[in-house]
Amino acid sequence: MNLEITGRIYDIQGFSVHDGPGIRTSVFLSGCPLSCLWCHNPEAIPFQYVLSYTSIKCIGIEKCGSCMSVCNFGAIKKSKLSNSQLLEDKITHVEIDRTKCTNCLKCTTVCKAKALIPSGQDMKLGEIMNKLMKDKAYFNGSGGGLTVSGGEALSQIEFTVELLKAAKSENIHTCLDTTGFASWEDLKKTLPYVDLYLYDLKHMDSNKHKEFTGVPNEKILSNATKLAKEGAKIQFRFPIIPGINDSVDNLRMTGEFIKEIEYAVELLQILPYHRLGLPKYDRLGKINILKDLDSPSDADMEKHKNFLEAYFPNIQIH
Amino acid sequence: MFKFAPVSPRINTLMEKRLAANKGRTILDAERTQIYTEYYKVHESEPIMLKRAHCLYEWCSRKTILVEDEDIFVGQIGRTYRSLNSFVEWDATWLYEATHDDDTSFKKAWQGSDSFAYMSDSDREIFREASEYWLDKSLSARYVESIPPILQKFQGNGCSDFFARKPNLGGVPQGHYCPNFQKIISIGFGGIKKEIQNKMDDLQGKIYGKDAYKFLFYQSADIVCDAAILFSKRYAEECNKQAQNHTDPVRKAELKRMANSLNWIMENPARTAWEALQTVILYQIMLIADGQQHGLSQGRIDQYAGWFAEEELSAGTLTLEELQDYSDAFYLKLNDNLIQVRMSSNDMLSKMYSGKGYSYNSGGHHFTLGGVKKDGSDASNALTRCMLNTTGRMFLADPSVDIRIHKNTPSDVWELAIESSKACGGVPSFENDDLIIPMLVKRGRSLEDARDYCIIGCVEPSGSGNEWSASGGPGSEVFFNLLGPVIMAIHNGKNPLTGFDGGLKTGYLYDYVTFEDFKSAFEAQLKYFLDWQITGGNCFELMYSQYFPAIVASTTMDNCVETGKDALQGGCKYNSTGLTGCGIGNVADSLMAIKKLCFDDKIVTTRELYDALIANWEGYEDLHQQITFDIPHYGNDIDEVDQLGVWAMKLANDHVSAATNPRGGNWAFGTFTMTVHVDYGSKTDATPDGRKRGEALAEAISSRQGFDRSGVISYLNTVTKLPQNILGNGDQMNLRFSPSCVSGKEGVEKLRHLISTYFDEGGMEVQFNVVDTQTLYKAQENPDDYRNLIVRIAGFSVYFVEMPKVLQDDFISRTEHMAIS
Repeated sequence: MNLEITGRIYDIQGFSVHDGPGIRTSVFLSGCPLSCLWCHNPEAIPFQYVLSYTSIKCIGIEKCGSCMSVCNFGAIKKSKLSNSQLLEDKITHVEIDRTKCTNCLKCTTVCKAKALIPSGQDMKLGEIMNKLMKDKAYFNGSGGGLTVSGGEALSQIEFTVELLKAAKSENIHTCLDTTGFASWEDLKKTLPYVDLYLYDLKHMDSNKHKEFTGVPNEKILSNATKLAKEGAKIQFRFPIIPGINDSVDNLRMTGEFIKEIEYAVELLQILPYHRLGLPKYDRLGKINILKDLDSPSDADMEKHKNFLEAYFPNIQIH
Repeated sequence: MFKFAPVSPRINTLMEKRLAANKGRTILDAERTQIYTEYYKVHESEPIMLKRAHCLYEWCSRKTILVEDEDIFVGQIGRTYRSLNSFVEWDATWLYEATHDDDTSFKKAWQGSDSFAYMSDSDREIFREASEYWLDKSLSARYVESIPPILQKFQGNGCSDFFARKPNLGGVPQGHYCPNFQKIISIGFGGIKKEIQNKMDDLQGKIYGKDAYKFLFYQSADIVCDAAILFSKRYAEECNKQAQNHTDPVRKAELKRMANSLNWIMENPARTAWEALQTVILYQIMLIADGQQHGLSQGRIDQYAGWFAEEELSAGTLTLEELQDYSDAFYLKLNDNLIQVRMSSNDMLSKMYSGKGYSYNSGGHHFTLGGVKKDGSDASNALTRCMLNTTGRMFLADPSVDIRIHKNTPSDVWELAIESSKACGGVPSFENDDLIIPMLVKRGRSLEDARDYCIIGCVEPSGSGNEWSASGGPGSEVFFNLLGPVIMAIHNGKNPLTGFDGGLKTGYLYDYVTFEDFKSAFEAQLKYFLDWQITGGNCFELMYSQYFPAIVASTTMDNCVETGKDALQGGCKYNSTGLTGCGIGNVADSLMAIKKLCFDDKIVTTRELYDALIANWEGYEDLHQQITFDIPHYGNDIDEVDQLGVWAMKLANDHVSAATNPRGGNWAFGTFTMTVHVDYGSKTDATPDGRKRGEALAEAISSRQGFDRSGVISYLNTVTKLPQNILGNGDQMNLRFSPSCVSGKEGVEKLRHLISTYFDEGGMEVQFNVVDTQTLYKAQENPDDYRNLIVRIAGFSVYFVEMPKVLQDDFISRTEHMAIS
């Protein structure tokens, strides 16, 4: 086991309760070949770290302003006077001009308030394992463990396999949260070390899939079938995005697909689209084109669940 | 989704009537003050112990008796429901001021629409007269002359709040213990009278040594027994009277049954769950009338009353529905009746409770459910479950409830407790039997007594009916600011905010050559001020015991009758005194900042850091940000800093635990802060952890607000490094989750595993609020829409919108543990 191997890590989250069974620690890897319109972790999409700015943390140019002076591209400008969440008085924040910013991240090295930070950091496998071992007591008993997520973890296949392998050697339950968009050769490498795949099904129509996520779905679907045949356990995750993938046709095709490999499927989770990722788009200076889209109602989710139950019995609204 | 069943129509009516009593106003009632003052005036020279017993007897025989048609249980503290007492013998200053105000101000303060309690014109006259009598005779008035003069020099030291209360005690009576309800339920006051008679027979004509004191004690206790029996019979009489003319045959029969029971209980052993619960209510009211009510706990109510219920249920003489109604009605009785008034114009605690000078609150009245029996097997029964149901569905801020958790706690009890806690903001809180019981055994309890522990006051584990565990002796919380000694070590024994200059001359921050030098100075200051705190507590207790022997409690407490000694004289089987440290998170972070900045990494000199503190970080923004972000903080599972917290806490614990109290017991150290961390913060200068002058301290065993950045598990890993299993006075861990985090059956399971793993890892107590920040902000903006939003602060819960803004903000700033994928 190579504890020195380095991964590009977007975030590590303890007491992660939405990514697999029990109490888990999720390791989010940076970089994803997809760019789903509804992505709630947009910071984890780029393979290079980008500049992330949380304006409420900024202590204002009156007291600091060092980012403006180090920026070689004139991308950091004075913003309007605003209230600080951390300080009593009104202060002037900065503003990032994303058309000029090259993500050189120089400003992150001088921002003492940590309002400007890189969207991730390189971490050694050993560091991550130390953290996991500290959390281990909370995994046992609850049926929890490690979830490797992203971004798309398979994009850092070597690191992902090492991480999963290390966790298994410590008897930690493992989940791999994946889009399935990878070569079968790569995905296959994870087979011995993954207890449960958390596998996204976003759209059954490949053209639509490409339209909304940037990539077609053939590889994703065939990988899922192969995993099933290899004896893997799968939990499918189907995000319901109103107007995009909640048509009767798409629900039916999704149901039929799952039915075919139901022997391998532990659970189908349907996830209502939520707007929790929106502040993150602000941090990146990106506009989320679904900004005005509402979450599906409880009644809609219930309806979808009932519909899908005709194909597969074990469905959970998450 | 889990839903608590709604209350029965009868309980619904009861609830509506109680909450609407007196047009929804709480009445400040003068009846008790009148009866007690009259008695004191006529019997000035009577020995105090007899006088207290006689006062109670007078009150029990004269007080207004009220039984209303929807009542399932009887008993009320004032002339009406929803009324408060005042305790002029403790403190009359505030009452004097209030009643001597000009008429316009008086009406505004006491009869206006937003008055905290209503005082009628006629009661005002009674209070006015009484307060004139008590102004120079109350305990507060005698406080200064009763304690050693040297203590008064410690005003403004910033470490100990004990001295902050001078000269006004704030009318906080005694408490912080669990009375012996079990004994009255088992043998009645009639049985105790027999024990007393035997003792007095032995002493007749043969009073040797200190027996004269004992004889006086027995005489007094005997009067208390008579008062109790009379009290119950007066309610019986009223029920009988109403039954005679009642037109509704069902209520008529019920009143007759109630009368029959009320004629029997208090004197004799209880026979049913109803009788046991009614016994608890009546004795509790007597204790309150006597003034012992602050942090008075009902203990293991599901044990005293629950096993009667089990027998009745299996015999078919009681239905589950009836038991559920009893449980609901019992809660309402506590909620309606047992609120105490805590008033003072300058009592820090009152201000913190309410944001005003005046307040009333539950005073930590609460009880403990579940846990193990004396033989170690699971203790839960039908009443445990009914009471958890009541907790989850009635949304009462008072009473507070604890659930004792052990290895074999049944799943349905877990589920009810968690769902209740989710529904109503952290009630019940969870206590770890598997840590607390061995700790109590180590502290000298028998295994059986340890297994029978309950939670008193806020979060303090104590004996049920056998321990005088009064926090700070007389039962006012004793809070110690652990960050105070850091200030002392930085400023050569001086508190720069108050000018107090009586600490040890250990030097200034810039005088220390090594980090170890600073640690030694902190250690010396810590021990020095802890000693003064203990000194104050012990002196105060002596003074207190002379004015207010706890005769009403001592009549039942284990060992008091056996030894003929009042609880305050060490009559109880076990005797402890609690002390609570605040701000351990700041201490760890401050030590870490000094170590890292000045000594390890040499980023600044001690002189520069000192100057930054003096400037309250003004002009030191870079340094401040560096401390905020680059220095490791307590609460993130980083050993280097966490261990500094462990070191400081062990120091404090060992020092306090070694100290003795006047009753032959030891002091016990713990850490819970209620809301004192905000007040202490406002009186504490800037500290090296980056805390600015006046900012709140970290609460209980928590990190600084918002500095637990590594998620809940890392946070819990930090606090389980603390030696929680030696904190005899209890501790408190607050967690706040967003609803999405713990929704559904799965969410409940995850919380359960989180709690049980925390307990396995060495946690003692945990309480959690499930509410998202958005909701809290909305509640701040539209308080009217969020009137019933309850949040847990420490040992008690409050309606969020009624908290002062500063506390609301503090609550919001605690990190929300929200895991979003």
